Amino acid sequence: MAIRHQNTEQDFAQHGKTGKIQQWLEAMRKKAEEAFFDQKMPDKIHSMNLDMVNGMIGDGKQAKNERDSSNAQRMPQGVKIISEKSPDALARQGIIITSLAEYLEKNPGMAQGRLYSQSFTENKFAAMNSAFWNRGIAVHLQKNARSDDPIHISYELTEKLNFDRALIVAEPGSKAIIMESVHASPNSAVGNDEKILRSHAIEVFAEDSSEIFYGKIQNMPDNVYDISIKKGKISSNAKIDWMDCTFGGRTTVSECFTDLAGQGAKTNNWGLFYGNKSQKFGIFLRNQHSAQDTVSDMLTKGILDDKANSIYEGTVKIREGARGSNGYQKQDVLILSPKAAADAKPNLEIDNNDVRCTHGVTIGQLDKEKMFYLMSRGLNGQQAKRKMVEGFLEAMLSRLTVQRLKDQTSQIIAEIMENMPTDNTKPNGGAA
Amino acid sequence: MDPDNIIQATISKEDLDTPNEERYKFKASLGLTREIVETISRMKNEPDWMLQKRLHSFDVFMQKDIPKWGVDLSPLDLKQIIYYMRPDAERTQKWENLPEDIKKTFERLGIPAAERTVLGGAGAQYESDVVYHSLKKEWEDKGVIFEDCDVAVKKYPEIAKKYFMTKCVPAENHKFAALHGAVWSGGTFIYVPEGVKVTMPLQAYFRMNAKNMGQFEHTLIIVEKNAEVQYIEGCSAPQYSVNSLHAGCVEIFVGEGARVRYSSVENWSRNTWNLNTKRAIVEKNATMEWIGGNMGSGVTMLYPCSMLVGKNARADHISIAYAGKGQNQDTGAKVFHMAPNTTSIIKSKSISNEGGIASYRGMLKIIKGAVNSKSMVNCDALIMDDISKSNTFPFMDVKENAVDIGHEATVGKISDDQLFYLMSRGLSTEQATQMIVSGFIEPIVKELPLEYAVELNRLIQLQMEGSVG
Repeated sequence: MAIRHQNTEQDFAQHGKTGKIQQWLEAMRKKAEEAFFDQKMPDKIHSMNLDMVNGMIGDGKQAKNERDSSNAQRMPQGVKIISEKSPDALARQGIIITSLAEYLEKNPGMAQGRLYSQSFTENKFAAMNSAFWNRGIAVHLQKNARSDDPIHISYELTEKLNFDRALIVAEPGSKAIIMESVHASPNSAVGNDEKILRSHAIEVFAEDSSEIFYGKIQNMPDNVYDISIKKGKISSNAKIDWMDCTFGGRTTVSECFTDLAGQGAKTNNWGLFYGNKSQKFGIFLRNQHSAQDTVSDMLTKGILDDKANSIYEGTVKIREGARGSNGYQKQDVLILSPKAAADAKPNLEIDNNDVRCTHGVTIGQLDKEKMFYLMSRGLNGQQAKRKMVEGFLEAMLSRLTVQRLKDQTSQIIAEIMENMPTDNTKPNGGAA
Repeated sequence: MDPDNIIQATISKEDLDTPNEERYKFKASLGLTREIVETISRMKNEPDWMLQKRLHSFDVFMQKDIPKWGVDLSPLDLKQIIYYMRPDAERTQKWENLPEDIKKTFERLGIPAAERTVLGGAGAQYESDVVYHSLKKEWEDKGVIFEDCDVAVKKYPEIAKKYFMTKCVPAENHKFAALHGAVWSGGTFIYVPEGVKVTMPLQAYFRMNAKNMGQFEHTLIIVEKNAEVQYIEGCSAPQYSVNSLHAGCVEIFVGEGARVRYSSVENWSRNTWNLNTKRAIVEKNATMEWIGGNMGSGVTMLYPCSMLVGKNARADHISIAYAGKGQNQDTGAKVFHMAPNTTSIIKSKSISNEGGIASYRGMLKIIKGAVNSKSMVNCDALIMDDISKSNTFPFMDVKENAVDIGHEATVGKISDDQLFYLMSRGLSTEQATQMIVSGFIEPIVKELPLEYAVELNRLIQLQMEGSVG
């Protein structure tokens, strides 16, 4: 099972017997493509006006051309791995980061059993990514390979259609902190007003007693439509922490499904979004407890300003055999402007009695009395509002144990608040 | 006699589940056709506008699809239901005039006893028609109307035309509302004039007796400005192997500053499909309170709805559901905040046992402009064993920022510590479990009038008998 560290050009060339895996991949992509064209847009995102995705893909020719011309690349264009240690040093430690294409060729058995096993054609967007992905990254942690230095995967959007895919395999006892960031450089083709699509799918396999932290910061320009799917399967006593910080983009759909498959599995699913202008957010989370003594925590904090709006659907599912499980779900939304709106659908599906499951939702505005108190202490409206927003986000920021993620997040929040319209500083409502 | 004792003595699961001999004057054939709808209207001697309304509803019914969400309704065969049946008793004001077996049924249910003690008026519906209705004179003199809905449609056509399935629950609402509009029969009509506060609760009891019968009672409650009323409903059906359908409809108009409390305990037999529509329009400064217990039915889909259309309107929804073996209780609440300063409080408790499924399904909508609206939703679920299921599906749609919304839910089992403590005091497992369950539903039961609180507790005990330990 374990893959050996062989990543010189020569080794790469030697692994020429790739016919079989290529055939398999092509067949899978073809199936996915058919599913994409067959399937309808999911009902739950009806209000997000994503039908334009169909138009952008059209007959799929352009997407396929991009895919086919990039398949052979070692490290896909526009993707950078940033880490304290060099890739070679990491590899010596048992942490191997390669392009997905290379990973498939070198570890066909390992890859074939995993790629597409969690996300394939379960909905239209999953099928779209499965069919068209052209930049793929694989992270493989060998047994007991542990690192506390964040591995930062930086994606640059270079095309109009961007399809990224990642496969993360953590062998027993391993640990890694992975950060994803996405940006569009102003000089690229993306820098203008044209609509840009970014589709991302990740599959994470946390084998026994391994730990994966996956954090994402998204602060893309207004013309980007970001659709991401995250899937995680957690074996015994292993853990996946998801952290999603979303600030930018025109429309963001973020779907995360975690299966707590082994006894004692744990997951934290934390999310933060801060939207203004006409931004739309769709957050769909699902934690499925399939084994005993599993624990999940879902916490989403959102702030909506201007005309931004959000749809949230969170589900904690506890299956029949999953005794002794504990699920927690909470969503808080702060609405700063009269034109912003929020939907929330926090579901619990419990098929077992030996559990503890709670959830909560709050949707509201800034507390006028607290604002008044702060302003009576000499803060102006803007400052008071900022303090309140900081307080609201504190519970989330304190969970950001990865310093780099925390710094970047705080910085982006500060920037957004710097640009906060001043006419908005009085607490709303009051009329009756 | 203490009402407590009467009810303890009269109600048992067998009483409710045992059918009487079918006594009817007219029985429609299986399934629904335009002719049946016309026949129902003719037999009831209805005015033409009501016939037109029924036929319109029938057309809507034929066009609409069965709802795809929630519980799977595909096993429900709408062609195997009898949509109208007229019992062999004329409408009466006097208890003595009822046929013996019908009288016995209601006696077992404690209706006359309840009336004798506290209730302002009692109506009982058996199969499709109301057979017994009365209202204490004191209220009649003040202009309060408590009448069989069939009679009211003819007696008070102006009020009926204005309110009957017009803006509260139009037939277009959904397929079962349309079905109801086409074949409705019996039910209760309450009118409380401006400023009148009815201090005694009014009560009705509905019962299906014949098998594969449909029960479609219509409850229309109009409460004028600054008036008050409390209305209580109980429902049951005997156990048959053939499915029955209950698609009732409740429309409540709560005038400015008025206050209405609607309580119901539904205990249909386990093979009943209970697809009920209940909705209230709540005006300025008015308060609507829904209190509901769902113990029976195979499948229940019931989501009382409050439309808060006036400033400062308020809705309280308090409900409890018990899902035992083979039961699927899909209940919840809907609240639309359509005016400023409106408040809603939803408290829901459910118990699932022996493989039952209990779901809370809620919808909370705050439209643009409903500033300073407040809503709190609270759901607690207790799962008694590891084959039972509990779901929570709340949905919140908030289009206004100056609001305060909260939702909380917990799901869990009876804690071993609590059980251990009680058992160490000498209680058996069964007693201890019952005591904890009683404590769990206490906050809701205490909102019910005494006899219903007793009935509810008794029903839950009956349901749980033999299921523990």
